[in-house]
Amino acid sequence: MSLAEFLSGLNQLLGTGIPMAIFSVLSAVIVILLFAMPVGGFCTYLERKVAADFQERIGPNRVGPLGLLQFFADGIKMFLKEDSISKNADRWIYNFAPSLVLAGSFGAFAVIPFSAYIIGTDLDIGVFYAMALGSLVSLGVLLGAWSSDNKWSLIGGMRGAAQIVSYEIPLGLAVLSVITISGSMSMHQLVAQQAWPSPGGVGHFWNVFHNPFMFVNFFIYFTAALAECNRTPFDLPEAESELVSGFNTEFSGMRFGLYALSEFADVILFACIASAIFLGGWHVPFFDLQSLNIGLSVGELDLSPLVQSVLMIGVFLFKVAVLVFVVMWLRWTLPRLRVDQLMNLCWKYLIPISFFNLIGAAVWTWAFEGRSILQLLGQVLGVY
Amino acid sequence: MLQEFGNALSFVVLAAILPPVILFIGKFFRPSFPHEGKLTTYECGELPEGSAYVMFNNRFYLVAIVFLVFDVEIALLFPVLLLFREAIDIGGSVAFQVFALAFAFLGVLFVGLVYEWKTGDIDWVRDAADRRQHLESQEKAAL
Repeated sequence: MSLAEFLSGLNQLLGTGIPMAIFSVLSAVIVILLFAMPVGGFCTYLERKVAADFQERIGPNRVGPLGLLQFFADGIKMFLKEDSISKNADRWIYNFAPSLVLAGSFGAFAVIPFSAYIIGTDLDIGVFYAMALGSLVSLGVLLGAWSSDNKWSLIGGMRGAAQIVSYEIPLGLAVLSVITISGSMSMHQLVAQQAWPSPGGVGHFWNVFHNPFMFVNFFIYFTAALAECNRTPFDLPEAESELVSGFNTEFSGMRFGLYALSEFADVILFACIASAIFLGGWHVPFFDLQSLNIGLSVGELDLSPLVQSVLMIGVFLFKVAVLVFVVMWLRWTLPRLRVDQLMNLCWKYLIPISFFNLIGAAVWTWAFEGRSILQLLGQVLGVY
Repeated sequence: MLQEFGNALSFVVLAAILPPVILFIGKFFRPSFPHEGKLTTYECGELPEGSAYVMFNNRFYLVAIVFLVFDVEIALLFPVLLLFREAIDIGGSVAFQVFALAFAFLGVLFVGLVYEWKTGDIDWVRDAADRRQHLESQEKAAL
């Protein structure tokens, strides 16, 4: 059930006649303005705090308890900064570029399955849609960099485009292998199939443990996703020690803020997709949360789905948080790659390996009729 | 179906109009003191030297073409491999057809990648001598 349908269900319960289109927009407002943007902003705070911990510093601790309100202060500061556009900039494209980047990173949040009942919209081409929108980001980065008439930006933008475009191939192949073993592109179905295996059920546990090829593919996906979000060790487009600030050098004030926000939104988006299609989304081991029944109800309304939803969102966001933390951890652990190393890693290692894994995953699916290691083990041991 | 896509569209449109809206609201709050020096591009404090709208040595030209082929192919493989599970359920020969179709396609592409690799087109740093040799061999092949 999509968020808009859920909202319109509430609407019918209350007996008000508001058209469905309003709820579509409302669901977008809820997911983007109340989830993606605040969490993206919070991540800028978290990044600084994690960085401080890794370097034995204190980090932001002035604004609010533990410095928790730091990102509000940063936001307000950027909002009030003068908006200066260099006189040679190509204004149309310069103004248009942040929109493209934001549409790419926030727009894809539409298909993130937060729980079995809460998803922006359950498109039957969900993963495909997310990947298609993700490639808008590279276009936005390149256009923004080129239009600002700055040499640093130009170099950064060119690197960014080359990098994002290259790493889209291993990313696509890794996602393709998920599609191959599960035979669906709808995010909800992909997650639903990853339940703990039960007698006669469809669940085959998390895709990452489906077979050895998928295990490797998860790491390929994660590496490629790091490169897609321009995160260390692949942060060449904005390598601050050589390119000033890279593709966003000429973007000041709130424009820079939007770029920074969309970068974190991208990280969260890829963490969300990774935990949905590889790490089982809202599923936990040994137990299917969707079969939880607390036996409480208000009138005729069963309260179980509500409790399930809360638990599922908690599990899902926990997985996302772990992945985001690993991304930040890597930033303070690994040095930046050189451009040629970056290209070699992609074309000479990741792409051949993911090719091999795709074939391997297909052969496994064929040989064992889509059963995972766990299901096979269960059959051998006679559990079911 | 249309309902779902409309819903997704509302996400994209909301995300796309966020920057203009935020910047427009900010217009009433932020100062604006344009100055000749402020409006030049940033080159580490020096006066900017020429324009950045130049012919850029885009090493990525060939890789971009390879990417295009790969990406189109991945996009085409999505529907084929989506049906793989269903084909397995139907029975032996159908599954084999889907498998053969998908991976014959992939195989041809992989040969292309190996060719690019051998000719050094996907190397970012290319030795000038290497490049010359490569061009000469290409000319020979053309003759």
